[in-house]
Amino acid sequence: MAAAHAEWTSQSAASSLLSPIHWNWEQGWPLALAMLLSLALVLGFICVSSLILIWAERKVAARIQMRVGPMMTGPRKFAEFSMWTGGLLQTAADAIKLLLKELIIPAKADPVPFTVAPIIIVTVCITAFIVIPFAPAFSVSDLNIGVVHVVAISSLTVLSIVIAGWASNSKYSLLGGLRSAAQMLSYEIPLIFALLGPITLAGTLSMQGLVRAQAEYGFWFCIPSALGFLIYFVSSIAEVNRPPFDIPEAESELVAGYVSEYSGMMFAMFFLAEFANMFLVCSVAATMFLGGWMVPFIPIPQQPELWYMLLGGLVFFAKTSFLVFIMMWIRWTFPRVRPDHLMNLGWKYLFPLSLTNLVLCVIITVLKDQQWTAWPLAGASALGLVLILLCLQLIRLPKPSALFEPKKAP
Amino acid sequence: MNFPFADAPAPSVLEAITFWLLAGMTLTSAWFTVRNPNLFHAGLSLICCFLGVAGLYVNLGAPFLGAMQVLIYAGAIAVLLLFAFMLTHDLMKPKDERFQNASGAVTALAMAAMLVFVAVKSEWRAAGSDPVKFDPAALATSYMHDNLVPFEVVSLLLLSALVGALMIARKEEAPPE
Repeated sequence: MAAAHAEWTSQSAASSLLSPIHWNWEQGWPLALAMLLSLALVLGFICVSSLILIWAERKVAARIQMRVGPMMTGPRKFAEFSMWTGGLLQTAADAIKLLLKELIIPAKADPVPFTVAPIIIVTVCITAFIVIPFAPAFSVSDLNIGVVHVVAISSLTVLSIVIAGWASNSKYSLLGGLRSAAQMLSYEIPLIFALLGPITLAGTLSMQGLVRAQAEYGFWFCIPSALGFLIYFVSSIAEVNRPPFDIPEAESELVAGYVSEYSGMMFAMFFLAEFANMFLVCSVAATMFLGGWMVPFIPIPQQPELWYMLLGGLVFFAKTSFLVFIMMWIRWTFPRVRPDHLMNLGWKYLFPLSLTNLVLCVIITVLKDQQWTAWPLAGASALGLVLILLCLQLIRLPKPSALFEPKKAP
Repeated sequence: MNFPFADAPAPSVLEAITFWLLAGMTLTSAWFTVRNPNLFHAGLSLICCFLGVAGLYVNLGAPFLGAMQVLIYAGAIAVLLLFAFMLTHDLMKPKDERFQNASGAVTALAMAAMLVFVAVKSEWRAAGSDPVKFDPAALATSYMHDNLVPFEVVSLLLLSALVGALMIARKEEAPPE
């Protein structure tokens, strides 16, 4: 298919933005400048989107609990219109309040790691956003190891949490840090193996390349890799420490886990990173499983087209926002999981299932090499998925609900 | 003595600046890793050192190796180290250091001498004016096709190490009555 050759979509955001200025932006000092500019854009984007996401989270929570949520901060006229337009400035007000609060470093804390931890978590988050394809020809840099970059950089998040837990010198923080280290290291494995499915199908690690590959196949990778999508989504909720996998900061047992001792802007940085990370994992899912910026039913043009770039950006944000909404929905619907249940789920269910998913994806890749077209391929994927589910029935795994029953005394 | 990279292309100013920054970061944090009496701080310096080495890989045009260094060393092994430190008592108490200082210095000097010797003696193949562009697929072919047998042997070795670790860590079961 012709769309596979639309290489222009790998252009960096800076050179797309600055294309009216005729200069070679691809090497030397101009490249460094362009990169700095794009990073500043990403930083601004993260801050603004986190503000919006926090507001959205409170509104979704309110709707699920049959409340109206924050209504008083913001234009009164908007609030009178509906609950979804009320309290628009609530997060901005919260941010100003946090900025004005004193930064307290506890007397017995380890000051340098205590201060460095929130900085690390935000830095890591910004760096991971480098390869996210927000639109065609609009990622900071389309590295040829894109997916590996995201996974590698995100694995440093746990470092920041462990440092915060240790440096706070408080038992709650330490327990939170220990729990998060165990949880995030365990769930990284099914997460990476679930991502291997789309990588095998596309035969590339570049994020823009993955989107183009889905155009070439003619369907989204959530069809051959449906199981992988599910596994990725569940493990990414655990990776960003959100309920029902929020045992590192379980407020009913650990106060606030590793953030217990933080105040003011340092606390805000952890909060910001949590929401930015949520956006990050959802945008990776949207790119790798849901077709990224690919506009449905319109083939990718051979030359850069502004209307396609804008439309593609909209499509990408729609898909990502939908996934973020589902994450919020899950948060306010399910009760928290116990630590040992969490480990069981990760190691005994998600990890073996992600291997099965990888095998199915390899088979589909081989069929694609045999010149199969979109419909037979999608059919084969569906058949494979049904077969996997049947096998699971046959070998009679204990039902996941059996995980949540108390152990019998010997 | 001929300098190893005599016929390699001169690095650009940007590359040189990044190299010296990263080298300084790696060496300083390596020094702190060894000399800091607080184990937790030493662990953090070790992570800085790993990240510096990853940066050097990227600077040399091997981004995949750099990402793997971050993922495996800084993201997994170092975190496991910190995890172990958290379960340890008396982190802050420095032990008797005199013997360690002397033996450590001797070992470090010996290692440095060996590395310098090898670096000077070996035949380096400089890439010339047109460096090879990195390609993950070439790496995969090398591992999974050309060198499949050694690769599998290494994985068997790792597997046996894992099983061994399990055996050591396993609790003694009570003998059946």
